[in-house]
This record gives sequence, C-alpha cells and structure tokens, in this order.
Amino acid sequence: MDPKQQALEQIRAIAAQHGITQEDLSNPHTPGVPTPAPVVVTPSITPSEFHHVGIAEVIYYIGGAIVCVGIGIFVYQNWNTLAFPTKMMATLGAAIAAYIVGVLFGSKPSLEGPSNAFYLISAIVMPIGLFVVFDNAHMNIGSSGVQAVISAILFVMYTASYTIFRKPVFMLFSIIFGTWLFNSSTSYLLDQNAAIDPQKFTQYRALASGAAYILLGMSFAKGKLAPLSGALYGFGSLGFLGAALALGGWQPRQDMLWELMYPVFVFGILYLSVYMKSKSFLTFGTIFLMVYIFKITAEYFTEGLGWPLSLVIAGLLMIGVGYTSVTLNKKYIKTV
Amino acid sequence: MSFIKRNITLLLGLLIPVGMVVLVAASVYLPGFFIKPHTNFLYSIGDNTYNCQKFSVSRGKVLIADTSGEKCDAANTPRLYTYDVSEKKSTEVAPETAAALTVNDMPESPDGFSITTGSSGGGFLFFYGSSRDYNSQYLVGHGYSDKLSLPQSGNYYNQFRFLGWITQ
Repeated sequence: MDPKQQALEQIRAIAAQHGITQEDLSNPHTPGVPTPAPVVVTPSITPSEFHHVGIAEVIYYIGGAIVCVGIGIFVYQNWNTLAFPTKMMATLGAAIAAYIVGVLFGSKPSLEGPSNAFYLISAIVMPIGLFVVFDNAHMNIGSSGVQAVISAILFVMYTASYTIFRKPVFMLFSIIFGTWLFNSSTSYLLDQNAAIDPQKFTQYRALASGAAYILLGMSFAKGKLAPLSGALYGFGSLGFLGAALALGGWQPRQDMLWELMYPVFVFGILYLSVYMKSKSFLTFGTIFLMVYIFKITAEYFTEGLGWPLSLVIAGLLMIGVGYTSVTLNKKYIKTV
Repeated sequence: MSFIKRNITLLLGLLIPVGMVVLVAASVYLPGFFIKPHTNFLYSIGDNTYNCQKFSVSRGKVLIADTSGEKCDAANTPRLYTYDVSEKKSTEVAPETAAALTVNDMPESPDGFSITTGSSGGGFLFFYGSSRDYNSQYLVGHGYSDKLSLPQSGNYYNQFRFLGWITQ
C-alpha cells in the first residue's frame, strides 16, 4: 500500500476512535488545530504600472535619437540634390514606417522598450517630414501660421494614438505637440494685433503653460500616467515661477502687484511639494525663492542699507531657505 | 457632475490654454467690429533719407524742401499718399494737393489712434518670441489694430514715413 494511503487510513481510524468530525478539523479555534496562515493577495503588477527606466531602455532611446540625427543630417546634406519624393520618403516615410514598427512591437510586452524607441523616432522625424511637404508647397515653414497647422496635425495624431493604444509615450508627445500648437497659434494671433505688447504676452503665455503643466501633472499623479508627473511638475513650476518673476519687472518699471503676489506663488509651490511629495516642486520652489530674495534685496535695499550689508542679509536668508528645503525633503518627501 | 469633480485638475489644465487662445482671438478680432477710426492721414514713401527729407509738416501745413543738392540721391523719388482709414486704401497725391491740406503732426490722432510698427512671431516648439517687424505698419488704438496696406514694403530705412493726420 502507498505510504500516503496508509497514513490517511490511520488518521481516519484515530478520528473515528475519538469522535473527531470534519468540522472540528476545519475550526481554527479548536485546540491543537494549527491556525491557517493568513492569505496574502498579491496584486498582479503589470510592467507598465511600475516602470523604471533601465540601462537597456536608455540604450534603446539613444539608438532612436542617433537614427533621427542620421536622417536629419542626410536630408540637410543632400537638400539641393534630392528630389521631393526622395526627401519625403526619407523623412515622412521613415516616420510612418517607424510608427508602424512601434505598433507591431508594442503588441508584445517583451518588446515594449524597442517599441517606445521606434515611437520616439517617429515623433522626432514626423515634424521634419511635414516641414518638407509644406516647404515643397512653397509655404514659409518659419511662420507661426504654418507651424500651427503642422503642430495641430501632430497633436491630433498623437492624442488619437493615446486614445487607441493607451501608452504613456503617446500622451508625452501629445503634450509636447499640444504646447507647440498653443505657442504657434497664439504667436499667429499676436502677429495680427500690434496693440498687444509681445514681451508681456510671452510672459503670460509661459505662465499659462506652467499652470497647465502643473494641473496636468496633478491629474496624472495617481494612475498609469504617473511617470509623466515629475517632468510636468518640473517644467510647470519652472515656467510658472519664471514667468511670474519676469512679470514683476525691475525698478523703476516694476509691477508691484506681481512682486507682492510672488511669495504667495513660491510658498504655494513649496506647499505642493509636501502635499504631492514632489522633489521637482521643492527644487524649483527653493531656487526661485532664493532668486526672489536676491532680486528684492538688489532692487530695494541696496541704497538704504548699503550693498555689502544687503548681500550679507540675502546670503543668510538663502542659508535659511536651503536648510528649510533639506528639512522638508527629509521629513515629508523622501521615502527611503 | 461627478465626472467634473473627479477630473477637475485635468479639466482646468486643459481649460487654461484653450481659454487663453480664445481670449487672444477675441481681443484681436472683436474690437474691429465695434471700434472704427475716423481720421485719415498723410504719409510719404522713399523720403526717409537723413538730411534729405523732401516733405515735412510745420504749423499744420506740408512743406516741400529742395532736395536737389549733392548729399541727396537724385534717383530717389519720394511720393506722398493719403490713407483712407474707412476704405483701408492709399491714394497717391501730388505735392501741390498735399500743400493745400491742414495736417496735425502729433503722433496720436484726435480720435485716439496712432501708427506703430508690427511684430513678427517666430520660433519652434517651446521657444517662441516676437520682435518688432519694421516692414509692416499698423493703425492701433482703443484695443483696435489694423495692418496698413501700403504701396511698398521692404527696406525700413527708405520707406514709410508718417507725416500727420488730415484734419481738413
């Protein structure tokens, strides 16, 4: 007889001898019955949700960038000798082919990295291809109007791609081309109206872009697009705080409202660094606070206090800001 | 409503750039429907050479100088034009006709408009800027802006020169 079967026969005999039922064996509170180990449910973690850029992916992206540089140099060096169909095939054709290869590779999870590299090639070379097409149509590719049309085509294309394939790389390019569309379309409108100060308008535009990036980053923070949040926070706070500082102006043409509002913006960004646990917010908030201290000291305190004393005070304030920044990072943001 | 609450930051992030484009478009095109300039003006083309300006305005009248000297370019023929702000077109006038007009040479017209150079935007991706485009002239005032259709454009230094607002 099989040893296992023998053991089971003996267990049945002992149970029958002592009146032990199946229920007694199942009840964890019965003395002597071992407590079952707690069941641990491990959520299935897909590669795309916890995605870290490894050395292999860095090499994929470098390879993709080198391909783009090669195509660009080829077209540039042979611009006058190549016919239009050849130029179009080398740029727009290559971009479309790279996109299709990316889609084919993307259907296999093991080829996710090379797939993203081909999408990168497509996204960089596609604008060059569209420039070639519009240039052949004798349009001024440097003008805001033509760039607005090109960026609109690319924005629609990559937004549709994200809607269909749901890959973060498409959202990244959708944001990049959306920003290009925003800048070029507002520049085109600005050219129609000489009553608007171009410099002031550029500052407000950067302010709006920065605010939009920060809000997009916050909406992406808890989801599949979370890897994009860091970059959005960084560029967003750089654009927003940089523009707000520029709008404050410089004595004697300073704008008091913006100069008084600026500390509110900076401390708002520093608060967001704690709330969103973002190092990007903390870094740029600290840098711009230091710049603001230096600016205000140089504008208003050099004559009364004297320049050397103003520098001493500004330096001490910067030490304080730096120490506070490190403390915030250690206490609220750093997880390891 | 719950969709808006759940995605409020995303919606705001998209609303800011869209709203700005709409606002800018409205500020560019809407004033043209409600604000109209009324004062025509006089200008010259090809009369911007230093020390050789043929036309000038003094005490409300156009003066015609003798520019046949050695310093001046004999091949250069300055011309006078009146600009009709309602028709948006220029008409060449003879110096004698212009001399009979009463002209106000202040930079701003009696109805609050002025002539300024245009701007030309350019850039790529994130880096966009605007600079003054001295080859185009605009009539601006009270939020209104309209590009002048001039007979010639190109070299700033030898072309458009505003003389004054025609009051009679």
